[in-house]
Order: sequence, then structure tokens, then C-alpha cells
Amino acid sequence: MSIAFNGFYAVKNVDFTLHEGALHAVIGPNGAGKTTLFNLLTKFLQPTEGQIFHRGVEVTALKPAAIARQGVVRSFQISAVFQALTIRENIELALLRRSGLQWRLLGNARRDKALVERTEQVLEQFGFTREADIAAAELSYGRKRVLELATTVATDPSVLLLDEPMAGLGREDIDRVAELIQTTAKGRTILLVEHNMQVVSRLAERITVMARGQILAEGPYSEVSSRPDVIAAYTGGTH
Amino acid sequence: MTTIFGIPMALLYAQLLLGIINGAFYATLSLGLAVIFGMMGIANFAHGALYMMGAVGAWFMLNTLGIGYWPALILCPLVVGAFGMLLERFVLRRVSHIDHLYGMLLTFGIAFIVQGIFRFWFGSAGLPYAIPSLLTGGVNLGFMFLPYYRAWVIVASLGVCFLTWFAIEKTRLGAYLRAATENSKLVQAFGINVPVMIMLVYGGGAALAAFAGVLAAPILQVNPTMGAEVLIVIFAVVVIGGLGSIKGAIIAGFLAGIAEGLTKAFYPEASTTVVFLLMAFVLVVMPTGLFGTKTQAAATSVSLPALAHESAFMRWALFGAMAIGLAIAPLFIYPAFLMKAMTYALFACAFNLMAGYGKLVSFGHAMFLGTAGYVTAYAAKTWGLSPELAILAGTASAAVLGLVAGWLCTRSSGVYFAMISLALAQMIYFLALQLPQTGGEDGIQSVPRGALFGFIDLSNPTTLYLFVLAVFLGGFLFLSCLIRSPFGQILKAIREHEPRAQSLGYSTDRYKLATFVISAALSGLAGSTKVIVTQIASLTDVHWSMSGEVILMTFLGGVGTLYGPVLGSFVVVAMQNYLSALGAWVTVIQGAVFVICILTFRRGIVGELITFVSARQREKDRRGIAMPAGSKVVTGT
Amino acid sequence: MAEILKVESLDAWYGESKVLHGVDFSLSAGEVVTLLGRNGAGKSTTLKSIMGLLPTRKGSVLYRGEQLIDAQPFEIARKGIAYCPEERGIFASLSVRENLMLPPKVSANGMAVEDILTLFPNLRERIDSPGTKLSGGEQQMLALARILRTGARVLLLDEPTEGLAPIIIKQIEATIVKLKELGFTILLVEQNVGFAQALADRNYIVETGAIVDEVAAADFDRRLSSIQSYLGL
Ligand SMILES: Nc1ncnc2c1ncn2[C@@H]1O[C@H](COP(=O)(O)OP(=O)(O)OP(=O)(O)O)[C@@H](O)[C@H]1O
Ligand SMILES: Nc1ncnc2c1ncn2[C@@H]1O[C@H](COP(=O)(O)OP(=O)(O)OP(=O)(O)O)[C@@H](O)[C@H]1O
Ligand SMILES: [Mg+2]
Ligand SMILES: [Mg+2]
Repeated sequence: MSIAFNGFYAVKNVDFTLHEGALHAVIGPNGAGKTTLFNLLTKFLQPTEGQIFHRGVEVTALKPAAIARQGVVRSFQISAVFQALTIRENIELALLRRSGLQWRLLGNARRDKALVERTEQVLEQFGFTREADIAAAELSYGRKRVLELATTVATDPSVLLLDEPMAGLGREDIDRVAELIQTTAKGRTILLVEHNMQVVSRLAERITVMARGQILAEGPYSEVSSRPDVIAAYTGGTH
Repeated sequence: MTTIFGIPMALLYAQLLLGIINGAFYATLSLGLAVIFGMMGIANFAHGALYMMGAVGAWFMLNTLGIGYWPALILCPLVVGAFGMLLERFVLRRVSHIDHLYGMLLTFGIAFIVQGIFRFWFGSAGLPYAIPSLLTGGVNLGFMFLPYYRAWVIVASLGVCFLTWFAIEKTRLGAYLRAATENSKLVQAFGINVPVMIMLVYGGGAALAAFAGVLAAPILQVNPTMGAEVLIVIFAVVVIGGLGSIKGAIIAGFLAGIAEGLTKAFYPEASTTVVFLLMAFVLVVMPTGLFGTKTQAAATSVSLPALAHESAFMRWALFGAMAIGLAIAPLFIYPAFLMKAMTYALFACAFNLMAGYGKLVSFGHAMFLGTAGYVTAYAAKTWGLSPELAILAGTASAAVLGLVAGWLCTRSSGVYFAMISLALAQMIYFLALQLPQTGGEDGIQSVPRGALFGFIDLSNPTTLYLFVLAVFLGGFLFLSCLIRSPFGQILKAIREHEPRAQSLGYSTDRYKLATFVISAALSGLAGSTKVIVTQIASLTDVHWSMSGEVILMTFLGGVGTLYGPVLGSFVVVAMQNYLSALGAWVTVIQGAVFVICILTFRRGIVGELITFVSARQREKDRRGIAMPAGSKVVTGT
Repeated sequence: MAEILKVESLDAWYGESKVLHGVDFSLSAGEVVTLLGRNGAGKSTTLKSIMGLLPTRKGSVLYRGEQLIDAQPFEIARKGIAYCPEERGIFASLSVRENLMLPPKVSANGMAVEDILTLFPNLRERIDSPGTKLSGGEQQMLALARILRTGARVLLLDEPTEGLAPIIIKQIEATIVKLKELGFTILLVEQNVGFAQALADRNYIVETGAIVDEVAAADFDRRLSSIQSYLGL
């Protein structure tokens, strides 16, 4: 798969397979093409060449929303929450589609018992219960990131693409979110982009290293992370 | 004599020259508009008025102060530029930190005021202005005669265009200004005095408009309404060129002038529509205009006013109060006024669904109101359909139009969206003017009211009133349920962050289209009902000023609130009804009320009320529980 | 060392809600000082209110003895304080080059563009693409690069390492060390305790909108457990 912007290849001839149930991390220096890979997989960008398959079915021509409906849901690197809506509403939105309410023109979602219960659960799980009714814009940056993760997980996806979920989080949140990712990973497939190597080593079973739009190495963490070319391109020696 | 497609060559050349001259004006005007738009994010509706100030100002200088053309060419832009700077400093700046839409609405009000005052001072007849003696006469080019003054107009505008282009594209200024539109706070934090810079830009844009005005004075009709006529054409030109592109504005200006000139030679009726046709075509092929590379920067949005707590009981109590109030109102107030206000209120509510909850502000909503009106009138009068069927036909036609227009419009957003809807509306206006069925300037008159379902006679005033009340309340209730529904929630989410909504699995295009169709259908319902009440379908209902009026009503009352548009329409209709005795001053007062409203309660009357109440509610909450600043993440699983 | 910036009982509000409750601290010329604290503690707000970016603030901000509490953001910037925001604030309608050249120079001792591009080679490669088309990490580099050029003597950096690859973090660490040698004064907000420890002369702990503790570099290891408990580790 490839994509070019005005002749500049951000991702070039990448062959990439994500196995069901895996917790797979993509690392690489800045500008390696990780986010672009995510954009391609979720169809926010259209590949210039190449194809994408989901469970054996070609999905190269689908729209982003259609991909999401197949259970492939992503988070954004630069936080994306619905700023003017309250935290509760943010979470409800993630849940509406699963509850099959999304085309209801009349009636109120809060009358749907299951939805309300699930919302409470998610609020509780991420520690938002007390702040549930304030607007998301009023959260600090780090808390917004947690909220975004919460809404992404709330859609109950089968494949979860997380773009730097730890960026901007405090140390205490990092540990908790890492734990959360581990629990969510049960029965799901997770693809993770992260620069925090401790987190990657702790979570990921397999890693792929990208550099300059291409795949440099792929394999189990311990094996790949000690390769000299990876160190030169990414970690830069001891860490 | 040589002819092309049956048109004499001489006529063709003459029209072409006229086109190029108009193009020169369009270029200079749209240049100022493009600068202001690109740098401040404001669609400057006062631009026409500033242009007019230049022309009328030149006339005034000559006739009262004895100042000739050449000094006026310098002085007028300076004076108008200073006026523009004052406007920016004391009026526009107050809303500069919120959505640029509010700045646009303010200029809208200001245009009303300026035009009204000038009409009062100078009357509405044309004011003659002589060509300066230096430039009288002309030269025969062999195939045509070229007056010197016209040649000068072309040269002067090209010169000014080039200078402006150079100042903005070739110096740092352009980058500062573009950055300031995106995040003015941050640009200030880099050490740039943004407020002064913005003031100078607005002043500069105003001076450019005035310069065009003085240039135009000797060859175009000088009168206080000359600005309003040219304004929407200029908007179209800027959009064709691509927002934010100076080069685009210049080229598109000449292009539009020439297209207009040629159309005048071949098919004069369409000459006023051709620019919009061109715009629609360009936008469909190149969604950001000819030279617009810039994707629109995310505007800082004002959040929808919402109460911290509201109970179902309160909602129904409010609705009940409104229903009862309207039901007994005819005992005290003129029913014709109430019925008119209710149809407008429904129209404004429908508009609000898109503008407020979907953040899709359309400049062409009158097309739905008007089209439905014509169809209803035609169905009731010519086909003799009963009123409910006629209304149904009208509503359905608006919905179908909404589907087509929505399909075209919702592929773009922001100002592009607004402009495509304006272009479509102008085409509908053209059809309404030209088609034999619509009666041209006269419209369709004495539409029969008929009997509802064959037995409820609508010519009875009480029955008619109750019928309109029922339609209005029904529409209102439907909308208020709609925005609380899951559909409404998703709509608000799309307004906030479209990619995120997509990544949650919502096909945002379909939601926008659905909203467009619903809004169009309800506008149609309002238009149809209006025709049954007033018994006439006319061009005013499809004119762009009607689209402007609905924006005014909605924002006056409070965009994104349920009751705001209702209140706004009642206020506007009341002003029009009760102030009409004041003649020329109506527009001044209307503009002033509008400006004051936006400055003092910018969330609209209802929006401001809601914000006030919810602030008090929050205050109470805060005293109840102190919120911890750093809440923790608790993993519950 | 001469005191260059002194903040006293600084209060700040977002609309109705008060976020800073009497922040007190000072910076000496040539120091690197960090603000540590949990998410939402008020670190970013402290930087923003020093720059005058909040609608309401009260208290005292002295820069070289001059009171800045009533100054406009652009005046503050021209005095020689530069700010790198946490959301990066790259302008979408400007190219990378224009973004880089945007802030006007406030003094003659800024870094040369050539040196900056050598420090961040990614930027050199993408110099003509639109600012927000850069990858997240590249945007962060650009945000930092942008203020190095201006010649401001005091830098307020809000999480400059967020989202950067370890190799770049090391480069930035080296840059900050170099800037310090050149005599820049740096106030740094960081989540990355390791990064803070490696660089800072002093660390302030922020909690619920106030400074609650100060830890000198020499005491860092000894007081590591109390720092960690402040940060909820
Ligand atoms: N829409 C675009 N237009 C032009 N160039 C782009 C676009 N999107 C990405 N790029 C370029 O492609 C390269 C890869 O970007 P990408 O966002 O995928 O990097 P990344 O691996 O996610 O890096 P980071 O870790 O810094 O987030 C970058 O050099 C970026 O400048
Ligand atoms: N725009 C805003 N409106 C209202 N409250 C806000 C706003 N921005 C931040 N806050 C509140 O101010 C407090 C301090 O926020 P601040 O952004 O300074 O935290 P921080 O220490 O930088 O956290 P982080 O590490 O998450 O960036 C938080 O409680 C936050 O909820
Ligand atoms: Mg990335
Ligand atoms: Mg912060």
C-alpha cells in the first residue's frame, strides 16, 4: 500500500498484517508515516496504490463511517472530543449507534435504560462520574485525552486503533490507562502507536518499526528493539 | 455589418467593454472584500455601503464643498477608511473573539444603518457626476470607440489591485493576518499587535471600496442603494476566485464582468444570474474556488446555550404557555400580524435547525419558502386543489428542492456552503421571474383559501387563525423533539468535530442531507401556509433579502435555542409592521436594533436568558459540592 | 543570580471558574525550572496567565522588575518572553516556513534558521508543506523551533516532548542544555519526570492551582518518593 502527497510518499509499499486478538504496536520516528497508516486503514485517506482487507474482505473503497461500523474504530493523535458537549453526552454519542438509535428522529436517548446504564458504567470506569455534566472544553488537556479514549472504548470495537493514547497524560494516568488497554484487549485486536517505550514494552506482543514511510522491522518486542538499525533510527541508544 | 450568432459585432464589442469595466469594479471591490474575509474571517456585508459612501461622498464633495474629482479620489478613500477603522475599533472588535459569523451579522446591521441614513440625506434618485475634464472624449480604435475615462477606470483598478496584491502576498503582512484569523491570541503571544493590525486591514478594505466608488461615480448611477445591488455579486466573485486568494479575487472579478457583458449581448434576461451560475459551476468542479487552496480554518465556535438542568415539566410548561398565549392573543393583537409572525417563526425555526444545531448557515433559505409558496398558489388557483393538498404539494416541492440543493451544498461547509445555497437561490429567483406560471413581477395573486378537507372553511378568520396556529405549534413541537432525539444529538456532534463523528461510525453526509431536507420541508410548510394566509405568492419570498431576514430573526432571538427564532421573528415582524409609518427610517432602526442586540446579547435574546439562568444554576451547584481539580482515573474493571 | 521573573499571588479565571489560587514562584536568569503536577493541576494555566492569555488574572508578574500584570500579550512577548503552547498552535493556512518565520524577532540573539533546521531535519524536508500537514511530532518540533528564532531570553515551554520519538527527545534535551549554556531562562511544564530531572535546576510542584512544594535538583533523588506521591504514582 502507498500514498503520496504531491509526489511525497508518506507511506510507501507497506505490507502489513494485523492478526485477530493481537496487541500490536507501531513505533517509529516522527513523520515515519504511522498516523498516515492509521488514516489509510480507517479510510480517512485513500491509498494511491494498494488494497486493504478486513477479515478477508476487501474494504479499500469504503468510507470512514462504514469502516467504523465494521468495528474498526480509531482515536486521534491530536485530541478529538466534542468540546461543547458535556462528558456524558460525549459518551452517549459513542453508544448511540450500537444501541441502534442513530436514526431515531423523535424520542429521547435517556429513556433507553440500557444506554443510560452503560453510560454510567463508562463514566465510572474512567473516573468521570463527578464531572459528568460539565462541558468537555473545560477539561484539562490530559483529561480530554482520557475522555477520547473512553469514547473510543465505549463503542465496543473489535479492532481498536489508538494513536498515541499516552501523549499528554500524567504518569499516574499512564499506568492506569495501560492497565485499561490491557483489560480491553481481551477478545479484541489492538493496534497502538506510541512513543513511550516503557508502555510499548509492557503492552505489545509484536511491534512494527516504521521509518520514512516504510517498514524497517517487525517481530516480538525484545527481538526488534535490540536491532541496531532500530536503535539508530528511533531510540537512539540507551533508554 | 458583421454579426456573430445574429448579434452585431459592434454591440458585442460595446458589451464586452462594458463587461470589462464592470469587471474592473468587481475586481477592486472584491479585492477589499477578499482581504477582509481572508484576514478577519468576516464576510463584510457593509462593503456595498462603503462603496456607496465613496461614490456619494465624491458627489457631496463636488457639490457642497467644491472639491473636484482628483482630490476626491484620494480624500474619499481616506475618510471612508478612517470610518472603517472606527467601525472596527468600536463595533466589530467586540465580537472578534467569538465566531466570525457575528462579525458578519454586525456588518449586515451596519449596512442597513448607513444605507438608511444616506437615503434620508440624499434621497433615492440618481445623483449626476460629471467626468473630469482631463478625461472627457475618447479614441476611435477602428472597431469601436473607447472613451478615455473608461480606459482610466481599467488602468486605475489594475494598478490598485496590483499594489494590494503586492502588499499582502509579498510582505510578512499576509502571513501575520492569516495566522491571526486562526488563533489571534497565540499570534499576540508572539509579539504582534493584532488589534491594530486588524483595524488597519478593515480600514484598508473600506478605503478600497470607497476608491471603487469614486471611480464609479462618473459612469454609474450614483445613489444610496447602489451598494446593495452590487454586494451579492461581489460575494459570488470572491467565492469564484477562492476565499483568501487575492489573485483569485482580481481574476474572478474581470471574469465575472466579461461573462455578464457577453450574456447581455446574447440573452439579456439572464445577465444578472450568470455570475451565480458561474459560481455554482466553479464550486462543483473546484470546491474551493479557482485559486483557493486554503481549507477553511476551524472557527472558534460559541457553544449552544443550554440550561444546566431542565425538567420535562418545565419544557412542557413553556410550550403550554406559548400555545395558550398565542391562542388568546388575537383578542388583543391584530390577527393578520400574528399569523404573519407565526409563519415567519416556523420558517426561522426550520432555518435554525440547520444554522444552530447543524452549524450550516445557508444564505439561500428563501428558495424553499418561495418555491413552496408558488407551488401552493398554483395548485390552489389553477388546479383548484383544496388547501391541505396545496400545502402538501408546496411542502413536498420544497423537500425535493431541499434534496437536490442539499446534495450539492452539503459537500462543502462554512462560507462555501452558504454561497452555494445563495447561488441556487438566485437561480430559483431567476426561474420565478421568467417562468410564465409564476406571473413574473406580479406573482400569483388572489389565491383561493378554500375549505380544509372540503368542509372547514378557511375564509372564516377564526378558523384560519386556528389553522395557522396548529401548523405552527405542530412544526415547533416536531423540531423540539427532533433536537432532543438521538438524531439531534448526533447532529450536534457533527457540528463539533466531524471526523470524530465519522470514526464513531456515523455517515455524517447523510445526517447533514437529512437535516437539510427536513429544514427545507418545514420552510416549505411555512411558505405554503403563508400563501394561504396572504393569498399571494410573490418575488419577495424568493428574493435574497428574505434569506437575510430569516438570518436576522434567528440570530436576534438566539441561534441554537428553541424559542429564540420564534421571539426573533415576532420582533422583526412587529418592527416592520409598526414602524412602517416612519418611512426611510425603518431600515435605520432595524439595523440599529440588530447591531445593539448583537453587541449586548450576542447569544440572542433567548440565548442570553438561558446563559444567565444556567450560570446561576451552576453557581448553586458549586456551592453544593466543591469539585476536585485533579480527579483520578479509576479503573473499574 | 539575578531574579528575572517573579510571580506573586497570581490568580486566574476561566470565565466564572477560578483556576489559579495565588501562585508564587520566581526564576533566576539562566535557570531551568520545571512545573510538575497532575493533569488539571493548573500548570498550563500558569504559563498562559504569565503570557496574559487568560481573560482575567490578578496578582503580580514582575519581569526584570517591571510589572506586567496589566500588559497585553504582544507587549509581554516583545519584552522577551516566548511561549510554546501545549496544543502546539501550528497555523494551518501557513506553510512550515511561514510558521517558522512568523514570530517577529525581539532581540538579535536568536538562533539562525540554518541551525534550527539542522537541529530538526524533518522540518527542512517538509519546509514548503502546509503547517498542519506535518505529523504530530513534526508539529511539536515546529512549535519549538518557531520560538528559538525570536531571540527571546525567557522560554515558557508547555510539554515540549509530548509525542516525540525518544531519539528526538534526546536531541531536545541536548538543545535545552545548550540553550541554558547560552544563558536562556527556561520554565518547563513536563509530565516526563525523567526528562525534568535531567534538566532542571529546581522543580515546583503544582497542585489545585497553587505551588505546594519546591525541590532542588540536588534533592531530587532523596525526595523522589514524595514527588511521586504528589504526582499520584
Ligand atoms: N495530508 C498530508 N499532506 C502532506 N504531507 C503529509 C500529509 N499527512 C502526512 N504528511 C507527511 O507524511 C509524513 C508522515 O506523517 P505521519 O503523520 O504519518 O507521521 P507519524 O509517523 O504519525 O509521526 P508522529 O510520531 O510525529 O506523529 C510526515 O512527514 C508528514 O509531513
Ligand atoms: N478553557 C477552560 N475553561 C474552563 N476550565 C478550564 C479551561 N482550561 C482548563 N480548565 C481547568 O483548569 C484547570 C487547570 O487546567 P490546566 O490546563 O492548567 O492543567 P494542566 O496542569 O496543564 O494539566 P494537563 O497536564 O492535563 O495539561 C483544570 O481543572 C481544567 O479543568
Ligand atoms: Mg502521528
Ligand atoms: Mg497542560
